[in-house]
Amino acid sequence: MNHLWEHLLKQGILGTASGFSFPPTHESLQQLWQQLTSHSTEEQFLSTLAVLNQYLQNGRLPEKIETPASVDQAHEEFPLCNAVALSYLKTILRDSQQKSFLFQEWIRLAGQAKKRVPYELVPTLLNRGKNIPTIHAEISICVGQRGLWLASLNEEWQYLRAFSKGAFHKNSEASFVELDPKEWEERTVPERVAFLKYYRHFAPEKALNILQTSWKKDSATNRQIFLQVLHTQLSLKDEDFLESCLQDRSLQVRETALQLLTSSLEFRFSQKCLQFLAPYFSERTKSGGFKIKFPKSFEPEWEKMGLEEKIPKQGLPLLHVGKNMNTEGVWWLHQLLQTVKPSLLASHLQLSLESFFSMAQSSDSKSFLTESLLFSAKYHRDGDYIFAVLKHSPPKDFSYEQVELFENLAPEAIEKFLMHEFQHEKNKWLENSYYLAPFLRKNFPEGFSQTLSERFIQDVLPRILEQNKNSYSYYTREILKVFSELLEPMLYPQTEALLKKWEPSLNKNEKYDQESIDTFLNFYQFRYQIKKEFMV
Amino acid sequence: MIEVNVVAVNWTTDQIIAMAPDSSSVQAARKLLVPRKWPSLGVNDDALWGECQGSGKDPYQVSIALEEPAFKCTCPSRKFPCKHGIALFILHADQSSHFKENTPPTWLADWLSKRGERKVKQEEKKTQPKKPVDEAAQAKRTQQREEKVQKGIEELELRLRDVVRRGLLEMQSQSYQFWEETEKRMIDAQAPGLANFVQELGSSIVLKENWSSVFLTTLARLHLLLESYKRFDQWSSEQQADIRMLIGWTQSKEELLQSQGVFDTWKVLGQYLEEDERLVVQRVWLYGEQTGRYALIINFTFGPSRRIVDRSWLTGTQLEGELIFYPGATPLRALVKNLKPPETFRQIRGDTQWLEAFKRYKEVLKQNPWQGAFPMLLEGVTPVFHKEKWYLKDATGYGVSFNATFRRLWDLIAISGGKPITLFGEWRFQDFWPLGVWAENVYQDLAPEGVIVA
Repeated sequence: MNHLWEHLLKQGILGTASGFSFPPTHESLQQLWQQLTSHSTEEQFLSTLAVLNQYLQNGRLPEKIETPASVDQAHEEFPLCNAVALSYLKTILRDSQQKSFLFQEWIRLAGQAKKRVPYELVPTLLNRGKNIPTIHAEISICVGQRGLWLASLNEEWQYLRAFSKGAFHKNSEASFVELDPKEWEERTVPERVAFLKYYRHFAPEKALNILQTSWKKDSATNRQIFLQVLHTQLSLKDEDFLESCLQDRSLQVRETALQLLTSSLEFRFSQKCLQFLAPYFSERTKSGGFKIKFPKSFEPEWEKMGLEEKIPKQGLPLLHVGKNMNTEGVWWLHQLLQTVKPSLLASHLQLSLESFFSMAQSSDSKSFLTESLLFSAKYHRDGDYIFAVLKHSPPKDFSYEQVELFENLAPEAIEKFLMHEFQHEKNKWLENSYYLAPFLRKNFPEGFSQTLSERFIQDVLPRILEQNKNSYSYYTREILKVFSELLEPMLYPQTEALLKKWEPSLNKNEKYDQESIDTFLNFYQFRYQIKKEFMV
Repeated sequence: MIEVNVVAVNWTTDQIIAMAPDSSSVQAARKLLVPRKWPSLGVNDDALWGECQGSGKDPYQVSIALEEPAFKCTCPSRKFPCKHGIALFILHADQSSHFKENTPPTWLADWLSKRGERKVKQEEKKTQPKKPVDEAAQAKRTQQREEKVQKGIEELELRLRDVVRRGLLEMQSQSYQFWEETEKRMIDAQAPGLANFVQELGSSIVLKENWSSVFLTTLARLHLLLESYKRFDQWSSEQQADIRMLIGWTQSKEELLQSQGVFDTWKVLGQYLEEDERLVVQRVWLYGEQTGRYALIINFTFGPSRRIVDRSWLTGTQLEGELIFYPGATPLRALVKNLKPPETFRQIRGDTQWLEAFKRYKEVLKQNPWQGAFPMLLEGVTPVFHKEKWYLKDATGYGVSFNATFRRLWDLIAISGGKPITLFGEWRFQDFWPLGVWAENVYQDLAPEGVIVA
């Protein structure tokens, strides 16, 4: 800032009541100040300000800039998306009420089609995508090389650095390119995860080696995050390392290692756990169920597996423990049951899951066993076992209980149950959107599969419409809204044809029903139009 | 010789949406972007039309005369254009294959015919002799206004001296009511130009960056204007015209339109809206291809229709025709006398150095020391990060900083990619405010989205 101006600024801020003096300057301006001395202090200030402003405006020059410009030298790898797809994106970005879901869907489709956006939209995408890690890889495609260059200039977009060399693209069809090992330790955690995922995809053993180079230096949180990457291409070659993780000082790391080691019967650890468990399931009751023998002593080997001999101070984490049960034995068996997936235990016992479940239901320690097995199923994300439980449970509304049950299950597992539910409609899930809507949105971030969508359209939609033909239902509208976001877009034409055949009965709420249908169709059609553009 | 390739305007969705009165209209229009809602759709060289099924028995009849464009719809909405008009236009822009018919229906032909008749009448009215003016009454009105303005200025000067005495720090903690009240007093004094200055002062206090310097710059300009007004007779007639315009005197548009204009091909380089409680102001910058002159079109809307400004101006197009400039020492503000329909332009030239642009600016300041924001068009400038700030650097190594209210800096950097671009914008006393950029043979609007709330 010019020092003369600064002089006046300071006085202006404090006010001329605190005093005023002309800015000290060269003679020609001093002569001008002299002409103002007869005026009041305020007028002196104002006139000096006006003169100085004109003086500075007239004398202002641009600054000399020594710094060279940073230039984006890279050639774009991917073509621009077409004008229609772009207009849809602009519609989504413009509509402030629009859900993030549509934006993510557009980005995902564009990323899969390897299409990018015009440069003027790149910053908008970088900002919108910042807090949505699930689409970072697609964002890196959509913003192109220009976006990656921009990201290098702005701290807020550092999340894209993981994709700066292109080699980290999970959709990359390029052959494996060795990366500089130094990058592993120097990058941020999201970048390192992307780095690891890339290696795990192309060279799983190298990924493991890289992970181990910094293992002792990484924090517990980071170790747990990196360990989860080993789910990809998990094999016996990971076994030794994972077993060493069972002794890690971090509970999170130990639990993650446990989940990995018990995900397959091939691992020594799984086999060992099952060998320990099997004897307690060797006897049968008269009705054919399991006659459970609780352990009488704590095996030394169990400690190495991570089990604790003493019951926790806060008590057993189980509700259904009989008065006559040996609580220590219950605790130990419960922990043993947590070491493997119930479906793996069933396989090991050479039982079908249906039989295993049935035998558990007929067990002499049914309450304990079913509760403990459910604990284990949730912990190990054993979708197959949970599916068996739900199939045989009495009908229930969709509530927090179901949300907990499905927590962290793979979408395929949840889909399996939804397929069954849509077909048979055992539970009254569709009447309660309060829990169901957010649950579906969370667990199907990329929408339903084609198969599940078809099942919904064929089985569920006609039922919803028929049931609500003569009355307006708030839930109908909410459910239709949710499914308009989740259904496979390319099934829109057949859905529209189906709805055209349905005529709402004339009643006082017809307007609402028709509006629900229109809202559902409009949104669904928009998604269909978007997807069509990327399939051209 | 400047080669110019022109392309007839094919309306894009962005341009159509820019015509909408508000964002809720755009959202409502989006729900109508399905062909099944339109039992009939047609197009010919002059118009688009369609029937849109609403909740009633009969569909709404929607028409667009393409020349202007002008909209008509039988729906009861008071918005203009309504959601049906917007949807019809966008539908044609995105999915023209659905427009089958080319023989306009009777209801459209009637409307087009009436429009033609109205145009003829308007032309006839221009050539009719004017009613005689009561000069004595006019002189009296002028004198009354002069007296009001003088009183207003005296009051304003008192208030400004009070501000200066108390200091900006104290003013910052004062409620905005002080400025609102002063603004109203200037309106009452029939000096709306001074009211604008007061409004600028009040707005600058709430700026996050550099507020005190911005405030003092505005104060300096205002004081210069007030002192200049006191010495009115010492200025040339052109400079007097500038002073009067800044105070808020208006000139009859009808009288101005009688004067000789400037013919050129006028490129629309940038535009933006400013809004306060009283009105919405639209500023459109034009650049004459042959004359090298800049022109500023200013439109106002008041009251309930405040958002309906002239949306036919499309940044990135050019229009051949005649503009009339308001009198002044360095005329910038202009009126449209007649302009042909717009065409997209494909080339643009400007100053190649900041020193050239500054030289022009200083020439203007010599004749018009009250010059406000000044248009500058620079070729070959590059965004550069230097000493914790972004600058626009020219090929000779000189640069200027961006105005703090420029919100699309990263969009500009993305468009540039670190390579030279041609940029148009306003020099706002200390820094540059971009409004349009030419890159990769396309001119793009950089104006802030929506209306700037003043």
